[in-house]
Amino acid sequence: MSNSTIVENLKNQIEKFKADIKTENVGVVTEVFDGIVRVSGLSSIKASEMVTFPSGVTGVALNLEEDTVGIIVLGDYTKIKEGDEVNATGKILEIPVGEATIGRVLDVLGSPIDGKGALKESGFYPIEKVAAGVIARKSVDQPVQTGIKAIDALVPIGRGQRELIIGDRQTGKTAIAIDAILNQKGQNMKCVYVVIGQKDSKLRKLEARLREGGAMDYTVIVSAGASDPAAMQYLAPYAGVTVAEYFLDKGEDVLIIYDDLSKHAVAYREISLLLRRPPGREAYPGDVFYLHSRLLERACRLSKEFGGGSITALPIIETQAGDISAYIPTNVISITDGQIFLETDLFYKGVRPAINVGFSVSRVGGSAQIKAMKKVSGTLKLDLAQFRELEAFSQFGSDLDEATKATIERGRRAVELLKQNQYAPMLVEHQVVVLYTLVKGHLDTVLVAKIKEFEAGLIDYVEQNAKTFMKQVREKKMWEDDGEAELKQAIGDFKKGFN
Amino acid sequence: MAKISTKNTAHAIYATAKGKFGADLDNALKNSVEFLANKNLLSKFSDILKELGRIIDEDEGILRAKVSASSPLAGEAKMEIEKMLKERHKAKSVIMDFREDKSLLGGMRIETRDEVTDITLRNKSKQLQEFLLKN
Repeated sequence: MSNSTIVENLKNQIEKFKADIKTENVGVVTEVFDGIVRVSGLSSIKASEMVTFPSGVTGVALNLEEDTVGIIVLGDYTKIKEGDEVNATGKILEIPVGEATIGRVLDVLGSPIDGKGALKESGFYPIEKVAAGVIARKSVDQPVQTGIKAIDALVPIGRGQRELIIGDRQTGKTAIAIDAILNQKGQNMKCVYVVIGQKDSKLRKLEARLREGGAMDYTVIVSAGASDPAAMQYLAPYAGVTVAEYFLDKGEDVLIIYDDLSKHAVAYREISLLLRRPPGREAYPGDVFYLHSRLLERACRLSKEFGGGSITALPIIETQAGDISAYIPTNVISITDGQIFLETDLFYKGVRPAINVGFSVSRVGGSAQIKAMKKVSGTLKLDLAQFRELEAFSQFGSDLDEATKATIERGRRAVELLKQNQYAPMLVEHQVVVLYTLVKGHLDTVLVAKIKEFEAGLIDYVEQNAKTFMKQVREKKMWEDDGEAELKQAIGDFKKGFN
Repeated sequence: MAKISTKNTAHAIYATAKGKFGADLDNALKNSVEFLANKNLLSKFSDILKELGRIIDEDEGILRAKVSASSPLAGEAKMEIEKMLKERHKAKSVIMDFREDKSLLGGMRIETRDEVTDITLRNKSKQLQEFLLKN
């Protein structure tokens, strides 16, 4: 670009500029500590209104008291001095939204942190919004295919549902979330991944993994890392759901992951204690339930008249030593429509994903399963429950009757079949095939150690030799008699050749 | 027990002293000081006094304004500002404090209570800088 073009461009821009004359509400900083600023003045400020400091940092008014205003600083608070002038902006905290957010990594204020240039937003949305009301909502009736057999068959998730992923550290919570995102390719779903208080290295890995899998073409990452102030971590999930609501308003389906809400609660506790709000159980403030309920209530499925979009939320909670009866886990369990419970013991036994099928439930997702999946998974949960009970018994003696033996053998095969590698989501029609094979007893004669090999081979074989069945499940979401006969034939043929 | 704020105290003192003269006023003020001493509030005296000044101003319709400009303002301009402020804040009288500040470059800045109207060149250039960075 030549000098004259630069000057010309600059001139054009300057011509467009119009200085606005307005009276601003101002205050003076009286106290600064740990990311909190106390300001006197600002008499007409609103709750959650944005303010600006002379250093250019933004803040949000949280506590409106008689003489002072308590402000959380969204950025570096070390440059704020006592006596600094604070300007109210008149705007409730809002962030840029739009199609351009797709594929980007944003901070809580919607500024890109991936070094890929400025964001061309389509508009601004306030980050605190009342969730959709009863009239606008519709019950959950379409599935979110996570590609994970154990989830899609036993704890199905519907579009608009809130399903909690809960477990100790290192049990594969994030892995499930990533798999779910990777599997949304071509499923008309936008994804938002909210990183709260995680290591920046984890964020980097996550982004690389999603980019590698082609998932960044439909995913936005909103991040407030471990080194960001507690105020940013507190606002991150709200910023994430705001980004999602843009797509919801356009009638699209969105999957949002909050990783994780335990750290979010801790960040909120920190802010509340610094703002001198009274502490309650485990020193969390009294409104910690509302903190999460108002966030998760924004996940919804809208009726057709309201656009028909949906936000499916997968919040993650990290427990300490498997204690799901702690304060925050119980709160979030009661808010969500079910939970996927991951266990360390199972993880180290090699059952991965380490989902405890007994404790995991989905309260609404069942009605969103495709018919074929509902048919094959119907008795699976019961079979597994019976297996667990009998397995405990079988350890006491070897004299078991035939029926018990059969149940145990079936159970062992079911557990083996539900194991799945990370980053290897499976198509729903393939899941139907393997689960059909299991529940119809075709796997009873296959050795447990060979189940994985059998499964992989069978899928390839069926794709080639049971095309009618596959087509029916893909298009009509259920098989017909001719398709079933063809599948049975294919399974039989494959078994003959398998040794 | 709820904390007594500086504002509450100043309001109370003003209410007891309002409309009183001579010995009555002396008595009311003496009682007020005794009350402050009893409640250990004497250390906050300067804050209370500031608040009291604000309450009296408000009650009597007095508006205090700080006007800063890069060069001394002409008498006409001062009158204009006074008129504008009287109308805007519905004040009976305006007490203006004029200051000269070269760093404002041009224009003026009017501060009243916690409101600021900034029409200085310095502010305009700051806005232009933000505008150019954003677009």
